[in-house]
Amino acid sequence: MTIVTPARVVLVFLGGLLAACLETGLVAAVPGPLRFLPFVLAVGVYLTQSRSLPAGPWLIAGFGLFLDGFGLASVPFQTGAYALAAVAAAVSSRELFSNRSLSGLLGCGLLAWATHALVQTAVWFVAGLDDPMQPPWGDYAWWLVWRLALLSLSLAVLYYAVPRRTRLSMQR
Amino acid sequence: MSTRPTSDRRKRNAALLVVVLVLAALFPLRRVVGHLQRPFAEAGTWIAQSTFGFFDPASASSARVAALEAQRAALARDAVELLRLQEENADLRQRLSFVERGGARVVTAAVTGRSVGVHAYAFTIDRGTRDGVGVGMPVVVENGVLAGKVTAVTASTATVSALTDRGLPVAVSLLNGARTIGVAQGLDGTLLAVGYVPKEEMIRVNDLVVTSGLEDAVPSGLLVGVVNAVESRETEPFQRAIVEPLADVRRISSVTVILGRAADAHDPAL
Repeated sequence: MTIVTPARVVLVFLGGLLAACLETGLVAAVPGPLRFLPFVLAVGVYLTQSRSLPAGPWLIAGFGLFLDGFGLASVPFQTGAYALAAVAAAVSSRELFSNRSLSGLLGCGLLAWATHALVQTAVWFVAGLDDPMQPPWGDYAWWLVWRLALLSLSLAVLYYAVPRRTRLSMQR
Repeated sequence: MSTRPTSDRRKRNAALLVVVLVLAALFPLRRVVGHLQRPFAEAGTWIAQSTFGFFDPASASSARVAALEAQRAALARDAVELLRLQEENADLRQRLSFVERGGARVVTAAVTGRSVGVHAYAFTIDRGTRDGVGVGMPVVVENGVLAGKVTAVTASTATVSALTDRGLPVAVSLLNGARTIGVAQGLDGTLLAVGYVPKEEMIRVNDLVVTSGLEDAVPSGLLVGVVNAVESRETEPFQRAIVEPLADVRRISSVTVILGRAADAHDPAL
């Protein structure tokens, strides 16, 4: 179990802030479908599943708060959507998947993505009920597919690129 | 088993919480984040501008497309200016409008973040109430091309909703023969729609769309876009103009916020 110290809390807070700035500042401006990369979600799922760090779910949930706080979400209620995605990642990491395998990492990512997508779609659907103009559902569906593809790709890159530690060293 | 480590940890966490709260009170988080976001946003804009056209199937080079877009915006501005001058000659009230518009108070701002989603609906800027920015103020690029309106503001930052945001209606006027007025609203994330236009009013593709000045904070004559298509059904009494906005919020790094008329700042009655 990872010991929570004030220094780690501050580090996670600053790291999360930096990751959020990277996604909204840099990634969101990149042309083409690369701008759909869910950078914070990928890092959060990786930390949750492969590193068993409690910072992972906090990172994911905090990003939703960041998006709502700065009005940078195209669909409202991102705090709730990302918080539920964080819960899904944490629970599946603990109860469903091995933290040693790539398939476990991808499975955890898929569940987090699906939870976020479901909540977001439901919110958008309800919000659009009294709107005579229908939201661009076709573009939205492609956006979700691209996000899943890029999430899986980035998780695979993280899995192979970041040196792995043993369970023993992680407990220290 | 000793409880001292747990007790110490609680004290440390409480102390940390106090320190974080004090720091948050002294240095507003939004301001810090704004400074943190800015280099990333500038890098993102640079990448977007450098690779513009790379993902498009068009045969023209990205530089050529960018040059043509700039030329189109310049021509559109010239056309708006020409039409405005013609109307000024005919009507003295238009000249009064020109004087008012020429004296607008503005503040420039850097884009610090963009919305995460299927389309670019919003972006943040590094100016807030401290600089005179308020909700509803228009935000322009390229000397008169409307990019969006301020929808939320703090002391040092503001959130700007792009014209393509479905929840951001803008009062516009079409520069056609009838000077059709209407409300433009985001359609599918990339285009705008001006609906409920009577069929008697002639709208043509390539007609320019500008702000009508019917909104309090938004002056008239700001360029919004170009009519891309006109939708009309036999059974309906109205037609709809599909408008392509001229500002691409994904490729801008700085904007200008129109705060109001210069006269407002010096008017002793205010």
